[in-house]
Amino acid sequence: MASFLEIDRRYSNASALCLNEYRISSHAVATVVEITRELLRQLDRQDSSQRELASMVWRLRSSIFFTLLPFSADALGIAELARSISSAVSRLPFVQSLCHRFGPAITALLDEGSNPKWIAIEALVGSSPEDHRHGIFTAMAFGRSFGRPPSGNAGKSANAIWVESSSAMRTISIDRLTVIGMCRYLSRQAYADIFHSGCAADITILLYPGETFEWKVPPTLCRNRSSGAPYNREPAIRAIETTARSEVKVDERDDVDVWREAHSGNRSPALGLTKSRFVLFKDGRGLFVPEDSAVLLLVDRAVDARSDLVESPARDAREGDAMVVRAEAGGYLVGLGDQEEEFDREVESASDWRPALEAMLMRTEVADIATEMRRFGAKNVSLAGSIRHWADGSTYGPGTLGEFRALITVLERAGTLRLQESADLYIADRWQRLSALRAGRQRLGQSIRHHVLNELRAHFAKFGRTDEISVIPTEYGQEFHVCFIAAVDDSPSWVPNARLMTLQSILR
Amino acid sequence: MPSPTLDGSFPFNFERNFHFQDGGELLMPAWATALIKLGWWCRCRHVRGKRILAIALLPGRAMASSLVGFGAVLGGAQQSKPGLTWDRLRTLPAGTELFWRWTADSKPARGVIQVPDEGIGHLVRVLLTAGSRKNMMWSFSEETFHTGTFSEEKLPSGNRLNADAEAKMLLEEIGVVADSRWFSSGSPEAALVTSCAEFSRSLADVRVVSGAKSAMFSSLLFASIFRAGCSSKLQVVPVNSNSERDTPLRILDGAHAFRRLRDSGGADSNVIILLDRGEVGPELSDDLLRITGALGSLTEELQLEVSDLAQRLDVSIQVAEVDE
Repeated sequence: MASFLEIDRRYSNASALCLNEYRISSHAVATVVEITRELLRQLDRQDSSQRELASMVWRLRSSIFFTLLPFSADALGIAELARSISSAVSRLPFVQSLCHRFGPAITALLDEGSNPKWIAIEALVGSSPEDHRHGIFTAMAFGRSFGRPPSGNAGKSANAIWVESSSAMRTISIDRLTVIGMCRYLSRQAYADIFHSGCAADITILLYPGETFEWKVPPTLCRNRSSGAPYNREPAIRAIETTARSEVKVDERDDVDVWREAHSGNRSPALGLTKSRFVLFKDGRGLFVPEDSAVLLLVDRAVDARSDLVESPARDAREGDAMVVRAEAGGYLVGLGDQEEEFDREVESASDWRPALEAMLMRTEVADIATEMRRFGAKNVSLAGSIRHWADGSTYGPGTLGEFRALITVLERAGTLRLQESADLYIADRWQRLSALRAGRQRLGQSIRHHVLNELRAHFAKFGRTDEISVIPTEYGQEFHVCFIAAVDDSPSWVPNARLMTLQSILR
Repeated sequence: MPSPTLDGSFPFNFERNFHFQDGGELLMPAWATALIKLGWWCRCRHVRGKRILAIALLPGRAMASSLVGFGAVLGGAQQSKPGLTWDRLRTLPAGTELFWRWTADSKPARGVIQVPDEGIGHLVRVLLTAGSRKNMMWSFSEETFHTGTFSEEKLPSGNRLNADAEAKMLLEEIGVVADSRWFSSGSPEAALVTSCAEFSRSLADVRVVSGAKSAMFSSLLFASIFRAGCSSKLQVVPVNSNSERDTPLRILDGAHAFRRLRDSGGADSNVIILLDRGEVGPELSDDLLRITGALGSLTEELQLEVSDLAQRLDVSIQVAEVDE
């Protein structure tokens, strides 16, 4: 948990933010970027195989932009991806000239020994003062990082703090931050966590030819930014070039709607489709959550006795939150709810005498009702207090059959409760149902939410936060799954009902 | 001594002598004073027929709700009237539980209010439910009432009172002189809807120092979360709970709490909403615009009272009609 001093520093940082655009030159990268940009421009997104090719090209570009590994590293799979692209491109007559240039450009890239951004990081961390904590953020797209050499290799790495979680930026304590690439594929929340939360006063963004940084103004309530909260001041932005400025400019059409490519939901409404929000989990799978539904989230990073689940629309979920969903054959169900809703409905229907009691209370003193009830056999000494609880619903109703009978008798005689059947039948039926509800409540423990929470806490105590989806069984034969969120799509999608709440892997 | 009536000027001078100790020592920063003042002002200022709605957009929400809550508690302390008056006691219906104690050291007593005896209606009659005279009836007069501390809620134990002593001394140091019974009776000054876990964690190590006095900052909040069962000045409510009480001020901490704007709480309570910039996406932004668009502005006089806040915080303060 951040200390008060650290929180104060965040306000100061946000009030005096300095951004450094650190432009790194690399001929090999520039060439691949230029060719692939041209390729993307020529592709027809309406054609499904060309769209798939565009996705592959995006993956290639982002691997190059956002990795810190040597480009030839096996883990990156650049060579293989390039081969697939080559073979797909060779089938398209209108980009043959690019096809010929693509191969050699990739070869040149793979021949580069060390990763230019890695070298830059070593230089940056190395030149920081000894005691400075230097944060390095690497999760540049879909909450994913794209590989880096093992720790211990970045100069004075004792001070380097590697961060893959944007939500951690809200509480981390560092002196300066390096973001290893352009921020175009960060979700709005991730961007805000990094740039608007005051995590550091000095932020450096590493940019290859073809990458640009865009400062997004934080939301504000005031119309006039200049006079106002110090933390709304514009940041100072300066450019650091390592050599002559590159020629490659970023073309708007570079921009693949990466989320849409990944999950292929529609970006506009259509008949038969439901508005939803795509949520990506840390294990690489995700699902569409109906926009109007509330999901259960565990938002506390450190789970303890007081942590609770929050009901929230999916769009408000953030990286690092855990989503808790009920598992069912064929998909997930939104919310805890059905079982609880049914329970609540039953409570209401078994308590249909309550409005009659409320009506009577409007014209009769509680004490008088109590007196009347005693005439008909109720024995409780603090009846008056109880009557109020029955009326406001904070208890189910009278605790004994005798009391209940007395209440119904009084209500009927007062004329506020009109019965369709004989009083005896009514009393017997309602009493039996109220007793069942009481027993049910006890049997349910304190409700499913409580149970799930307890299991969650135990789970966290044992396993901490993991990337895999964890399973929590309940005694009612249901399973709950806990999924940690990597990123949430900034825009809604429209999908057929069959795709809602069904886990899918995304095209990565 | 600060004036008990609100004249618009913030009577506490934190910037001279109020330090936070947590990760180091720090004199009260301007943003923190502004948050405290926001809580204080919204707790104390009431506009007839309307309620005040303030929204603050911050780089991060850590500690913000505690500071705003602290301001509300200070406001309440300033305005403190004894929690349970004789007149109000007379109106409580038979069956209501009543708690009282005679001195800070005496054991707390409890009973259930009964229908007064015919003919001596000027006395309040109570059935004792604890202590050596359990199950006996006892009637008392107004004079007797004023010699003790009575409350509809459980009173803090002796130990709690001692823990409070540190807090009381520190409050006095900064100029808060509350009616002594305010500390142990009455209802909360504000309800705070937040993540209870984060709230308590954030306050775990924070100490405050003023002059020679020091205390845990959490103790200055008299928050329900730390005072199970006792009367508290700040009711801390989880986002999912329905137990929010009717208080002069509601503080909604974060986007999830913001969704509770229309629920429960007092119909005419003032409201403060705290949000961090990362939470405000296009949909929330739309919601905010819709809400603020339907609200009215403060009068010039009131605007002047809070003009300094706008220079330290990104804040919007407006009024809404009280009719729904």
